[in-house]
Amino acid sequence: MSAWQRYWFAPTSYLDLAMVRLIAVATQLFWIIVFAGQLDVLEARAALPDANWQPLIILKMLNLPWGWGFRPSFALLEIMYYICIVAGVLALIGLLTNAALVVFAVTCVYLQAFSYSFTDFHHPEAVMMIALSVLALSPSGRALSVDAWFRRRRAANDEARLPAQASEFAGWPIKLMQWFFVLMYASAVWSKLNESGFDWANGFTLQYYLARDALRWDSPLAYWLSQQHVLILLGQYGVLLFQGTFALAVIFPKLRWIYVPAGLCLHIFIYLTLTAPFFQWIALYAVFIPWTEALQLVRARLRAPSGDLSAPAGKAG
Amino acid sequence: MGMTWSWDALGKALISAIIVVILATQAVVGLVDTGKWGWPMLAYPMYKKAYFEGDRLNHDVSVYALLSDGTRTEIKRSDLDMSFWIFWYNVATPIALHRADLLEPVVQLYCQEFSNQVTKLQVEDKGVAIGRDGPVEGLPPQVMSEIEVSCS
Repeated sequence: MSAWQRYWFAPTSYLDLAMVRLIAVATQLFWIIVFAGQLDVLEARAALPDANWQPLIILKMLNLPWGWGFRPSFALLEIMYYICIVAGVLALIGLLTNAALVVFAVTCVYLQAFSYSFTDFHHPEAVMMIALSVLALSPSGRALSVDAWFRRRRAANDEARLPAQASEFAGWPIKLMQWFFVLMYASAVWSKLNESGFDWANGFTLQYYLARDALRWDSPLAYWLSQQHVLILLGQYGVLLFQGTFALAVIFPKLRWIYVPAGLCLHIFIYLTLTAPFFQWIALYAVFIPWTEALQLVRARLRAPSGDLSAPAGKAG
Repeated sequence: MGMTWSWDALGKALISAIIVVILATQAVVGLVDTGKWGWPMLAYPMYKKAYFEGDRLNHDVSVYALLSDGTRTEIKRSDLDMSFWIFWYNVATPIALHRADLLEPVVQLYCQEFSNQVTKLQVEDKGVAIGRDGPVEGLPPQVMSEIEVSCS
């Protein structure tokens, strides 16, 4: 077996993958229904004149059956939005999981691409589109799903047919998304250094962004921080170090104890101060958590007699 | 058993191709930065520009229509019923980029309102700069960019 196969197709617990599915789909549903209010956004964008219409390539490709220059009406977008919600709910509960995830991923990509076909665009959603697409091609419905419940019921009378707990095909989406994070952070640090060199980390840069967004979005915390030159200077070096070395968290899993909390703090800080809602990134940090091991550890600790917390954690399947 | 092996092998080959395509594309796009056109494969250049003490903040702008008699009138985003970002990308940014074609709806609207007297559109900052101790407010506003337009 090649090193490639040993890495990407190592047996991995279905539970680990299913947790990523649950968190990713729930976050995306929250985003489009509650936080972004996507239906209102679509209606506003659909009303913009053709002069502003700059369709993304992926939207043109998805529109090919209707012609290269096709621009969907709001009525069509509204239908697609509700199909998206239904598919998302099915994917969340894990009923017809793969089919639901395919429909959910395609409609999410389509609707978001439409929103971004009018000059402006933002960065939080793209990684979720990749994650949902990858999950749709994976056995993410083999655990924590209605599908899995049906499968277990059918096999209940035949122990030999009981579904497996792990698979060679359950790990690659998780590892793919881990490396995708590495590439996103590498792009971020490369952009900064390529544009400005180490002058970027001069304190004033982040003070500028904090002050700009504090005044733009009325954020007292960002305003206060924009006045702390030395603290912000150190923070900028921290950002370069974090983004530039994030690959270490994938190569050496123990370092995730440092990188995952640091990354979560970074994105929460960015949201609280710069009002940039990277919820999708925060949610997809789920790919760095060994859920099966964590649950086994919790179970062992709950079962351990009071005062004896040294029960061993089982090995993930 | 042989059939199972071949389906597994085919599955792994297809998945391997997907892994390579996604990671290679993201690696290239992440370094080259193709803007939004490759979405959802993107570069992540957020906050990449360095700023220095005294640089002017562009947290908000004022947009004006200049009339042929020398007077100017503010184009407010509330008058156009636009959100901050729609106004930013569809009015302020095209002026900075000198893209008159993207400004046609706004120009037509104000030409009608001011009897075809609109000659220029202008973007002005709010008079704030960054300093070591935070934002320095109350500076005279500066014109950031302007574009000549025609009502004909």
